[in-house]
Amino acid sequence: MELSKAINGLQNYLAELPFKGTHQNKTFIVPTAFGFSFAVVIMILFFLAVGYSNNLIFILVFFLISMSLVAAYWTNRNLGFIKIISLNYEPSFAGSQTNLFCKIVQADKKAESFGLNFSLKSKDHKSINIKNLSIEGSQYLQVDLPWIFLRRGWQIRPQLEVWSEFPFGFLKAWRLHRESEPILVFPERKGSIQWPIENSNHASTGEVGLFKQHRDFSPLDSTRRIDWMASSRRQKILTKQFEDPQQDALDFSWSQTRHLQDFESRISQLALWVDEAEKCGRDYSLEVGIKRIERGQGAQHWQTCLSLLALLSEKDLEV
Amino acid sequence: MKSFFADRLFAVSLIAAMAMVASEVSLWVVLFSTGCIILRWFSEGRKRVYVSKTHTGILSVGLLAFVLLQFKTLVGQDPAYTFLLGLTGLKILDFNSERDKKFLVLLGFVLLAVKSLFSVDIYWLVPTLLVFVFLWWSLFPTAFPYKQKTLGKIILLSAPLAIVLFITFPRFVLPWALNQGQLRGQIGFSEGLQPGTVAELAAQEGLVLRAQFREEKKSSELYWRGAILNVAEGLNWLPGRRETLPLQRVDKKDWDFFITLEPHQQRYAFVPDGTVSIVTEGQSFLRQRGEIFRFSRPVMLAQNYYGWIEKDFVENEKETVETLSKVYSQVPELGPKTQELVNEINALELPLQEKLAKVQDFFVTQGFVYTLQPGKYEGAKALEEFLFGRRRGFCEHFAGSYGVIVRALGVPSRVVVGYQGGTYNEFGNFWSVSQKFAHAWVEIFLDGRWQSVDPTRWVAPLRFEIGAEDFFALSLEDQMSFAKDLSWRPQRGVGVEWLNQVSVFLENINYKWTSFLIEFDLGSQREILRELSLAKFFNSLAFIITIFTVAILMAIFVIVRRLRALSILSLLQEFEWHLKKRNITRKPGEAPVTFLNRVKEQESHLSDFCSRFQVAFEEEIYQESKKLTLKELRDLRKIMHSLF
Repeated sequence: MELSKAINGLQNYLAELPFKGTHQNKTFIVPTAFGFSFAVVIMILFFLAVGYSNNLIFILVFFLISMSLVAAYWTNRNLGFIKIISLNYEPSFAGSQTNLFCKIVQADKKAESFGLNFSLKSKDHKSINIKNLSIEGSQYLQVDLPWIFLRRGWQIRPQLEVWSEFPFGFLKAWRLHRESEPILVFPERKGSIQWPIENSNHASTGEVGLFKQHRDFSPLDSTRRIDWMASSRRQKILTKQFEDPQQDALDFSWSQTRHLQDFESRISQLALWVDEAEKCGRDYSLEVGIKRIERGQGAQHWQTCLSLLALLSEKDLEV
Repeated sequence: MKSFFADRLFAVSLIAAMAMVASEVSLWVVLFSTGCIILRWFSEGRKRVYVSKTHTGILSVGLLAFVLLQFKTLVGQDPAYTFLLGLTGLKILDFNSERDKKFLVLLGFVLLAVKSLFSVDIYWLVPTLLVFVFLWWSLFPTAFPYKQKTLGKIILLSAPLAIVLFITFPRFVLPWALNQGQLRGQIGFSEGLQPGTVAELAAQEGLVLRAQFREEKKSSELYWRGAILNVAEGLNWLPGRRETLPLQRVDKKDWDFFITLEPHQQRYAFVPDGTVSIVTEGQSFLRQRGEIFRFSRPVMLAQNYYGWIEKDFVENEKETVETLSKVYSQVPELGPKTQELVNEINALELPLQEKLAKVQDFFVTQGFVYTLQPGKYEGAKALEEFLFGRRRGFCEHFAGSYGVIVRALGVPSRVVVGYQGGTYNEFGNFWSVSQKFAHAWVEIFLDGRWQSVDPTRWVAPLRFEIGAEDFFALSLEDQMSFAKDLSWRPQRGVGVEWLNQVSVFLENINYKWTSFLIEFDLGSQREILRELSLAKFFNSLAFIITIFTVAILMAIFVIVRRLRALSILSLLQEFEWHLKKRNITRKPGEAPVTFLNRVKEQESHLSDFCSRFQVAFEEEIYQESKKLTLKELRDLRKIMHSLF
């Protein structure tokens, strides 16, 4: 009675102290197909040993069993001290590849983890596996995992799975990590690369002013602005940006997309213009239904405009 | 195409496992598997795929058909092992992925087990161990840098459990187990004695048995009884009727001899002269008239048994006059010269002992030659041809002919077939008896009991003095010239003597190993348990001390690990747990530093600690060069505990 009380008390104590228990960082472990085949082979050899009373086969079988058990411990230990420190997303557009930056640490200074694989999973999508990474004791590892959100708006973050079959591939051990906070996904950038008609006269194509800097080529850029020499040096296509204080601002509005019938396509078109305008360093405004965001530029402005589009619903357009 | 030979250790260890089994299966499947490996080598060299999965599929069906053709069945050991080896060859041929590699590793383990069925000799242990280790080795990811160290650790850690399992797992013997299939390891011994049978046996290599005696023995006095032959047909002798007798009970606790018999697929249990009774685990014996013992089932695996000897042992079940006259005195039809010899001796009207001495004189003086190649003696005149013609023979010729002559003189006789002598191993104090020691001798019924007579001793006493192995290692000229010279010894170089010593030493280790493997059974396990309970008091005290020590060591281990596991992240978790009681929780996704800032604002008395924690956290997580020491972490935790 006393003993059971003590056990219950200890269990409650550990349950309340996540840092003293291990359930917060659970490592799951199951046999792989190879592990099952290995078990079948052990069974066969065991029956062979019993059937023929052959002690040498008994030794072989018992060594196979105990080595696989030690290997199971090793598989578990390989992930046991892995801690996920941070999971950061770069701004994400639906339909485009984004990266999840996952930073992990091997918390045990003397342990090393090998054959680590990373993948992201959601109900309807799975990312490409990043395979065979290793991490030494007390070291950090950053993994960039590609991911594509299929829809705009507030989306559930995909689940991160860190798994390993180290050392012999009998068992798969994995740990799951999901952050409950949803992520805002911007609309898909899709549509015509030409500025809307009302703004087209102001589209910047000339090389006026002084050279300011290089930036990556975008489909909306004129090919005349490509700096071929710099591109060949840097091994990527670069365009020249010029100081052009006289460039006119761009005003984007829902009505400019009237030629597109589909609601989502119209949002995508606006998202494309907003993003390109930001890239070109132009001032821009956005008007959707009753909501209007005044002219401006910069990361904050860009995010506000795209957030508006990301969360836009048909109700917002009803006056 | 994934290369099979790229991982050399894997390829070599698998081929080695195949080679070990190859020595036990049919030649055609060995050639087939070798062909597969060569074709694979050729294919990888040319970087061309000559055999597709479809081809190997067809080949495996063909392989199955061949196995069926040879064995008429797929059930049983031989067809299974033949198919297994062929299948491994085919799998190498269409090797193309990591999955194939894993499958081959599993096949490798099975091949090792199969080899253990055929031989438990220690000589196979080294290659088996190497293959075992390298198969595990090849399961590591290719790029893994610490294979050696990790595999070493895994083997060391798994050894205690494997040993405990080996010792404690009960060795129940299934009744049907030993009768399955066909095993190799025949000793070729068979009932019946035809001219040349024993010579054929003696010309073969191969171990028959190993034996230990409680008392010292000489090679020349060791006669291993296998079978009794009663029916004389000239040089040809047959077993005749076998009479089963009740098993003798022996009151002596300690055995007089201990034998490890190699599997021979028959029921013979070879015993030294004078054996009263034998016992073994898992098998029962039949005792037959003439101190002959038989296992109840054929000996398919190496078998240990103990026995007791009594000097001048006389079977309790006396021979009746009727048996002596009907069974042991029947004389076959003799040729004219043999009859004349018998008549001549009878005509002298001497006492029986002197008549027998005359027969001995005949064998000693008539220029008989002891040889392994006496040529064939066939037909009704075989006895005449041997005694008065060629006079070249092996032990069975001397025994067979002597037995017939003494019967003709009125003395009941029988021929005993078995082994004579053995090679003594001074390191292990045991005798090894190989096929070379195959022998036949005669027993005559005189003075109310059976007495051994070995006519071969009169012709070639040197064979008994130096042993059959050394004798037959001599040239034919030396055998003939020195057969009767008891003082002659073959000359050996120092190197040969040294090699001999090494081989005797290795043989001793092998004997210890194989007898351990064979002997370790339910009885041995019971004995271990019995021994443990004998020293109850001592053991219980020792047990408590051991448990106590282990508990302390484990506690130290756990504490050390807990201390080692102390990290800035675990401190953060603990801090969060304390704050949770004050309804301050970290929001999902909220960065620790941001969270600590929020805590600072909400709980002013924690502000200093939060600032210190922030600095520590940033240093630990973001500055790779700066790492907190265990002391710093413990100090931080101490401060935290003082605050709550």
